[in-house]
Amino acid sequence: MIDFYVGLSNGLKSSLIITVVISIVLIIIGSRVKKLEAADAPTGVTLIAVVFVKGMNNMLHDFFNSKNWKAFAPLMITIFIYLLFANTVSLFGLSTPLANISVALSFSIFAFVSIQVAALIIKRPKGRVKDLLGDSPVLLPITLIGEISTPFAMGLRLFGNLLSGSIIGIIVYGLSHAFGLFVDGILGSGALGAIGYTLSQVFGVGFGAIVLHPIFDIFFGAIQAYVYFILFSIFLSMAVED
Amino acid sequence: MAEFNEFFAQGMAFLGAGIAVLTGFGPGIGQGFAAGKAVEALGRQPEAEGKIRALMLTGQAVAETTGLYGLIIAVILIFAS
Repeated sequence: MIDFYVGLSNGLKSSLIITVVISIVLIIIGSRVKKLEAADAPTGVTLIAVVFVKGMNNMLHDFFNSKNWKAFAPLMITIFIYLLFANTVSLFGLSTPLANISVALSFSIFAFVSIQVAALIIKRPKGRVKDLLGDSPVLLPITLIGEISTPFAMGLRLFGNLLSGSIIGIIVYGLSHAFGLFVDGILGSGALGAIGYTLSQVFGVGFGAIVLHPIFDIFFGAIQAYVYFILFSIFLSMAVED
Repeated sequence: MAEFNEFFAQGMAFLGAGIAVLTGFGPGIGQGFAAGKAVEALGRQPEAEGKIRALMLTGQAVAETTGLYGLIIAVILIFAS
Protein backbone atom coordinates (compact mmCIF):
# COMPACT_ATOMS: atom_id res chain seq x y z
CA MET A 1 0.00 0.00 0.00
CA ILE A 2 2.80 2.41 0.95
CA ASP A 3 4.80 1.34 -2.11
CA PHE A 4 1.85 2.16 -4.33
CA TYR A 5 1.58 5.64 -2.80
CA VAL A 6 5.29 6.42 -2.98
CA GLY A 7 5.44 5.44 -6.64
CA LEU A 8 2.80 7.96 -7.67
CA SER A 9 3.66 11.32 -9.18
CA ASN A 10 3.30 14.49 -7.09
CA GLY A 11 0.00 15.57 -8.65
CA LEU A 12 -1.67 12.22 -7.98
CA LYS A 13 -0.34 12.16 -4.42
CA SER A 14 -1.78 15.57 -3.61
CA SER A 15 -5.03 14.64 -5.35
CA LEU A 16 -5.37 11.65 -3.00
CA ILE A 17 -4.53 13.80 0.03
CA ILE A 18 -7.11 16.43 -0.96
CA THR A 19 -9.75 13.77 -1.50
CA VAL A 20 -9.20 12.30 1.96
CA VAL A 21 -9.08 15.69 3.71
CA ILE A 22 -12.21 16.98 1.97
CA SER A 23 -14.07 13.74 2.71
CA ILE A 24 -13.26 13.93 6.42
CA VAL A 25 -14.08 17.65 6.71
CA LEU A 26 -17.34 17.33 4.79
CA ILE A 27 -18.43 14.29 6.82
CA ILE A 28 -17.83 16.22 10.06
CA ILE A 29 -19.70 19.31 8.78
CA GLY A 30 -22.51 17.14 7.41
CA SER A 31 -23.00 15.31 10.70
CA ARG A 32 -23.13 18.68 12.48
CA VAL A 33 -25.73 20.01 10.05
CA LYS A 34 -27.75 16.82 10.44
CA LYS A 35 -27.91 17.31 14.21
CA LEU A 36 -29.59 20.71 13.79
CA GLU A 37 -33.26 20.92 14.65
CA ALA A 38 -35.59 22.88 12.41
CA ALA A 39 -35.84 25.67 14.99
CA ASP A 40 -32.08 25.99 15.61
CA ALA A 41 -30.15 28.84 14.06
CA PRO A 42 -26.91 27.49 12.53
CA THR A 43 -23.71 29.16 13.73
CA GLY A 44 -20.09 29.19 12.66
CA VAL A 45 -19.03 26.50 10.21
CA THR A 46 -22.51 25.08 9.82
CA LEU A 47 -23.83 28.53 8.91
CA ILE A 48 -21.19 28.89 6.20
CA ALA A 49 -21.97 25.40 4.88
CA VAL A 50 -25.72 26.01 4.81
CA VAL A 51 -25.38 29.40 3.08
CA PHE A 52 -22.90 27.99 0.56
CA VAL A 53 -25.08 25.02 -0.37
CA LYS A 54 -28.13 27.25 -0.63
CA GLY A 55 -26.34 29.68 -2.94
CA MET A 56 -25.10 26.89 -5.17
CA ASN A 57 -28.57 25.35 -5.28
CA ASN A 58 -30.02 28.68 -6.39
CA MET A 59 -27.40 28.97 -9.11
CA LEU A 60 -28.09 25.44 -10.36
CA HIS A 61 -31.79 26.13 -10.24
CA ASP A 62 -31.27 28.86 -12.86
CA PHE A 63 -29.48 26.54 -15.29
CA PHE A 64 -32.00 23.72 -15.28
CA ASN A 65 -35.55 24.73 -16.05
CA SER A 66 -37.10 21.53 -14.73
CA LYS A 67 -36.77 19.50 -11.53
CA ASN A 68 -33.64 17.74 -12.76
CA TRP A 69 -31.32 20.06 -10.89
CA LYS A 70 -32.07 18.27 -7.63
CA ALA A 71 -30.50 15.07 -8.90
CA PHE A 72 -27.33 16.77 -10.09
CA ALA A 73 -26.76 19.35 -7.35
CA PRO A 74 -24.71 17.08 -4.98
CA LEU A 75 -22.46 15.97 -7.83
CA MET A 76 -21.81 19.47 -9.14
CA ILE A 77 -21.22 21.01 -5.71
CA THR A 78 -18.79 18.23 -4.77
CA ILE A 79 -16.85 18.76 -8.00
CA PHE A 80 -16.78 22.51 -7.37
CA ILE A 81 -15.48 22.09 -3.81
CA TYR A 82 -12.83 19.64 -4.97
CA LEU A 83 -11.65 21.96 -7.74
CA LEU A 84 -11.64 24.97 -5.45
CA PHE A 85 -9.33 23.22 -3.00
CA ALA A 86 -7.26 21.45 -5.63
CA ASN A 87 -6.49 24.69 -7.50
CA THR A 88 -5.44 26.59 -4.39
CA VAL A 89 -3.62 23.74 -2.66
CA SER A 90 -0.16 24.90 -3.75
CA LEU A 91 -0.46 27.57 -1.05
CA PHE A 92 -0.12 24.73 1.48
CA GLY A 93 2.98 23.21 -0.05
CA LEU A 94 1.41 20.44 -2.11
CA SER A 95 1.75 20.41 -5.89
CA THR A 96 -1.38 21.26 -7.88
CA PRO A 97 -3.17 18.07 -8.99
CA LEU A 98 -4.65 19.68 -12.10
CA ALA A 99 -1.18 20.51 -13.44
CA ASN A 100 -0.90 16.75 -14.01
CA ILE A 101 -2.34 15.73 -17.38
CA SER A 102 -3.72 12.45 -15.96
CA VAL A 103 -5.85 14.26 -13.38
CA ALA A 104 -6.99 16.90 -15.90
CA LEU A 105 -8.01 14.34 -18.51
CA SER A 106 -9.77 12.24 -15.88
CA PHE A 107 -11.91 15.32 -15.26
CA SER A 108 -12.68 15.34 -19.01
CA ILE A 109 -13.64 11.67 -18.90
CA PHE A 110 -15.72 12.27 -15.81
CA ALA A 111 -17.64 15.11 -17.48
CA PHE A 112 -18.14 13.09 -20.68
CA VAL A 113 -19.39 9.96 -18.91
CA SER A 114 -21.69 11.81 -16.52
CA ILE A 115 -23.24 13.88 -19.32
CA GLN A 116 -23.85 10.83 -21.52
CA VAL A 117 -25.16 8.62 -18.71
CA ALA A 118 -27.45 11.35 -17.40
CA ALA A 119 -28.84 11.99 -20.88
CA LEU A 120 -29.36 8.26 -21.49
CA ILE A 121 -31.17 7.80 -18.17
CA ILE A 122 -33.37 10.89 -18.35
CA LYS A 123 -34.22 11.00 -22.06
CA ARG A 124 -34.06 7.21 -22.65
CA PRO A 125 -31.84 5.85 -25.50
CA LYS A 126 -34.56 6.56 -28.06
CA GLY A 127 -34.87 10.24 -27.20
CA ARG A 128 -31.09 10.56 -27.00
CA VAL A 129 -30.65 9.20 -30.52
CA LYS A 130 -33.36 11.56 -31.75
CA ASP A 131 -31.54 14.43 -30.07
CA LEU A 132 -28.22 13.53 -31.64
CA LEU A 133 -29.71 13.13 -35.12
CA GLY A 134 -31.37 16.51 -34.93
CA ASP A 135 -33.04 17.77 -38.08
CA SER A 136 -30.96 15.88 -40.60
CA PRO A 137 -28.50 12.97 -40.19
CA VAL A 138 -25.93 14.82 -42.32
CA LEU A 139 -24.80 16.79 -39.28
CA LEU A 140 -24.37 13.65 -37.12
CA PRO A 141 -20.53 13.50 -37.36
CA ILE A 142 -20.24 17.13 -36.30
CA THR A 143 -22.59 16.55 -33.37
CA LEU A 144 -20.58 13.52 -32.26
CA ILE A 145 -17.32 15.49 -32.48
CA GLY A 146 -18.94 18.21 -30.40
CA GLU A 147 -20.05 15.68 -27.79
CA ILE A 148 -16.45 14.48 -27.39
CA SER A 149 -14.56 17.74 -27.81
CA THR A 150 -16.41 19.86 -25.25
CA PRO A 151 -15.50 17.71 -22.19
CA PHE A 152 -11.99 17.33 -23.62
CA ALA A 153 -11.68 21.12 -23.86
CA MET A 154 -12.95 21.50 -20.29
CA GLY A 155 -10.16 19.26 -18.96
CA LEU A 156 -7.48 20.83 -21.13
CA ARG A 157 -8.55 24.32 -20.02
CA LEU A 158 -7.96 23.39 -16.38
CA PHE A 159 -4.67 21.72 -17.27
CA GLY A 160 -3.35 24.68 -19.27
CA ASN A 161 -4.22 27.28 -16.65
CA LEU A 162 -2.76 25.41 -13.71
CA LEU A 163 0.30 24.27 -15.67
CA SER A 164 1.09 27.81 -16.82
CA GLY A 165 0.84 29.06 -13.24
CA SER A 166 3.23 26.41 -11.93
CA ILE A 167 5.67 26.94 -14.84
CA ILE A 168 5.85 30.68 -14.16
CA GLY A 169 6.41 29.95 -10.46
CA ILE A 170 9.25 27.56 -11.32
CA ILE A 171 10.80 30.17 -13.66
CA VAL A 172 10.72 32.96 -11.05
CA TYR A 173 12.04 30.84 -8.19
CA GLY A 174 14.68 29.25 -10.40
CA LEU A 175 15.73 32.67 -11.69
CA SER A 176 16.12 34.09 -8.18
CA HIS A 177 18.28 31.10 -7.25
CA ALA A 178 20.41 31.42 -10.42
CA PHE A 179 20.80 35.18 -9.97
CA GLY A 180 21.78 34.62 -6.32
CA LEU A 181 24.51 32.19 -7.41
CA PHE A 182 25.66 34.72 -10.02
CA VAL A 183 25.91 37.51 -7.39
CA ASP A 184 27.66 35.10 -5.06
CA GLY A 185 30.23 34.36 -7.77
CA ILE A 186 30.90 38.06 -8.38
CA LEU A 187 31.18 39.12 -4.72
CA GLY A 188 33.30 36.15 -3.69
CA SER A 189 32.47 33.44 -1.19
CA GLY A 190 32.72 35.65 1.91
CA ALA A 191 29.97 37.29 3.91
CA LEU A 192 29.16 39.73 1.05
CA GLY A 193 28.40 36.88 -1.32
CA ALA A 194 26.14 35.21 1.21
CA ILE A 195 24.27 38.48 1.75
CA GLY A 196 23.83 38.97 -2.01
CA TYR A 197 22.54 35.43 -2.44
CA THR A 198 20.11 35.86 0.45
CA LEU A 199 18.83 39.19 -0.90
CA SER A 200 18.20 37.69 -4.33
CA GLN A 201 16.31 34.76 -2.81
CA VAL A 202 14.29 37.11 -0.59
CA PHE A 203 13.29 39.20 -3.61
CA GLY A 204 12.32 36.08 -5.55
CA VAL A 205 10.24 34.60 -2.74
CA GLY A 206 8.67 37.97 -1.94
CA PHE A 207 7.66 38.47 -5.56
CA GLY A 208 6.20 34.98 -5.56
CA ALA A 209 4.32 35.53 -2.32
CA ILE A 210 2.94 38.96 -3.24
CA VAL A 211 2.27 38.62 -6.98
CA LEU A 212 2.43 35.05 -8.25
CA HIS A 213 0.53 33.02 -5.68
CA PRO A 214 -2.40 35.44 -5.27
CA ILE A 215 -2.85 35.71 -9.06
CA PHE A 216 -2.12 32.21 -10.29
CA ASP A 217 -3.26 30.13 -7.32
CA ILE A 218 -6.14 32.00 -5.73
CA PHE A 219 -7.58 34.15 -8.55
CA PHE A 220 -7.08 31.92 -11.61
CA GLY A 221 -7.67 28.75 -9.59
CA ALA A 222 -10.99 29.95 -8.23
CA ILE A 223 -12.08 31.30 -11.62
CA GLN A 224 -11.23 28.04 -13.37
CA ALA A 225 -13.12 26.04 -10.75
CA TYR A 226 -16.12 28.32 -11.28
CA VAL A 227 -15.86 28.08 -15.08
CA TYR A 228 -15.65 24.28 -14.98
CA PHE A 229 -18.70 24.22 -12.72
CA ILE A 230 -20.67 26.60 -15.01
CA LEU A 231 -19.76 24.80 -18.23
CA PHE A 232 -20.48 21.41 -16.70
CA SER A 233 -23.93 22.53 -15.57
CA ILE A 234 -24.70 24.18 -18.93
CA PHE A 235 -23.71 21.15 -21.01
CA LEU A 236 -25.50 18.81 -18.61
CA SER A 237 -28.68 20.88 -18.79
CA MET A 238 -28.41 21.03 -22.60
CA ALA A 239 -28.09 17.25 -22.75
CA VAL A 240 -30.91 16.34 -20.38
CA GLU A 241 -33.52 18.96 -21.32
CA ASP A 242 -35.51 19.69 -24.44
CA MET B 1 25.84 21.43 -45.60
CA ALA B 2 24.12 21.43 -42.26
CA GLU B 3 23.76 18.12 -40.50
CA PHE B 4 20.30 17.13 -39.40
CA ASN B 5 21.34 15.86 -35.98
CA GLU B 6 19.55 15.87 -32.63
CA PHE B 7 20.54 19.47 -31.89
CA PHE B 8 18.95 20.58 -35.14
CA ALA B 9 15.76 18.75 -34.18
CA GLN B 10 15.75 20.28 -30.70
CA GLY B 11 16.33 23.78 -32.06
CA MET B 12 13.47 23.32 -34.49
CA ALA B 13 11.26 22.15 -31.59
CA PHE B 14 12.11 25.33 -29.68
CA LEU B 15 11.34 27.45 -32.77
CA GLY B 16 8.03 25.62 -33.09
CA ALA B 17 7.27 26.32 -29.43
CA GLY B 18 7.92 30.00 -30.07
CA ILE B 19 5.56 30.00 -33.04
CA ALA B 20 2.92 28.05 -31.08
CA VAL B 21 2.64 30.67 -28.33
CA LEU B 22 1.81 33.29 -30.97
CA THR B 23 -1.76 32.03 -30.46
CA GLY B 24 -1.71 34.40 -27.48
CA PHE B 25 -2.70 37.22 -29.86
CA GLY B 26 -6.22 35.90 -30.31
CA PRO B 27 -7.27 35.56 -26.66
CA GLY B 28 -5.60 38.90 -25.92
CA ILE B 29 -7.75 40.69 -28.46
CA GLY B 30 -10.85 38.75 -27.42
CA GLN B 31 -10.42 39.34 -23.70
CA GLY B 32 -9.73 43.02 -24.23
CA PHE B 33 -12.86 43.28 -26.34
CA ALA B 34 -14.90 41.55 -23.62
CA ALA B 35 -13.50 43.89 -20.95
CA GLY B 36 -14.27 46.95 -23.09
CA LYS B 37 -17.82 45.81 -23.67
CA ALA B 38 -18.19 45.14 -19.94
CA VAL B 39 -17.12 48.72 -19.21
CA GLU B 40 -19.70 49.96 -21.74
CA ALA B 41 -22.40 47.86 -20.09
CA LEU B 42 -21.33 49.16 -16.70
CA GLY B 43 -21.65 52.74 -17.94
CA ARG B 44 -25.16 52.00 -19.09
CA GLN B 45 -26.25 50.03 -16.01
CA PRO B 46 -24.02 50.71 -12.99
CA GLU B 47 -26.33 48.80 -10.64
CA ALA B 48 -25.62 45.47 -12.42
CA GLU B 49 -21.92 45.55 -11.58
CA GLY B 50 -21.66 42.15 -9.91
CA LYS B 51 -23.47 40.30 -12.68
CA ILE B 52 -21.46 42.03 -15.40
CA ARG B 53 -18.19 41.18 -13.69
CA ALA B 54 -19.08 37.52 -13.26
CA LEU B 55 -20.22 37.24 -16.89
CA MET B 56 -17.11 39.01 -18.16
CA LEU B 57 -14.76 36.77 -16.19
CA THR B 58 -16.56 33.61 -17.33
CA GLY B 59 -16.49 34.69 -20.97
CA GLN B 60 -12.84 35.64 -20.76
CA ALA B 61 -11.94 32.33 -19.17
CA VAL B 62 -13.67 30.50 -22.02
CA ALA B 63 -12.03 32.73 -24.65
CA GLU B 64 -8.66 31.92 -23.12
CA THR B 65 -8.91 28.29 -24.27
CA THR B 66 -7.39 28.75 -27.74
CA GLY B 67 -4.36 30.47 -26.27
CA LEU B 68 -3.99 27.66 -23.75
CA TYR B 69 -3.93 25.10 -26.56
CA GLY B 70 -0.98 26.95 -28.07
CA LEU B 71 0.71 27.01 -24.68
CA ILE B 72 0.16 23.28 -24.14
CA ILE B 73 1.62 22.52 -27.59
CA ALA B 74 4.64 24.72 -26.80
CA VAL B 75 5.17 22.95 -23.47
CA ILE B 76 4.92 19.55 -25.16
CA LEU B 77 7.42 20.64 -27.83
CA ILE B 78 9.90 21.89 -25.22
CA PHE B 79 9.68 19.19 -22.58
CA ALA B 80 8.67 16.10 -24.54
CA SER B 81 11.01 16.40 -27.52
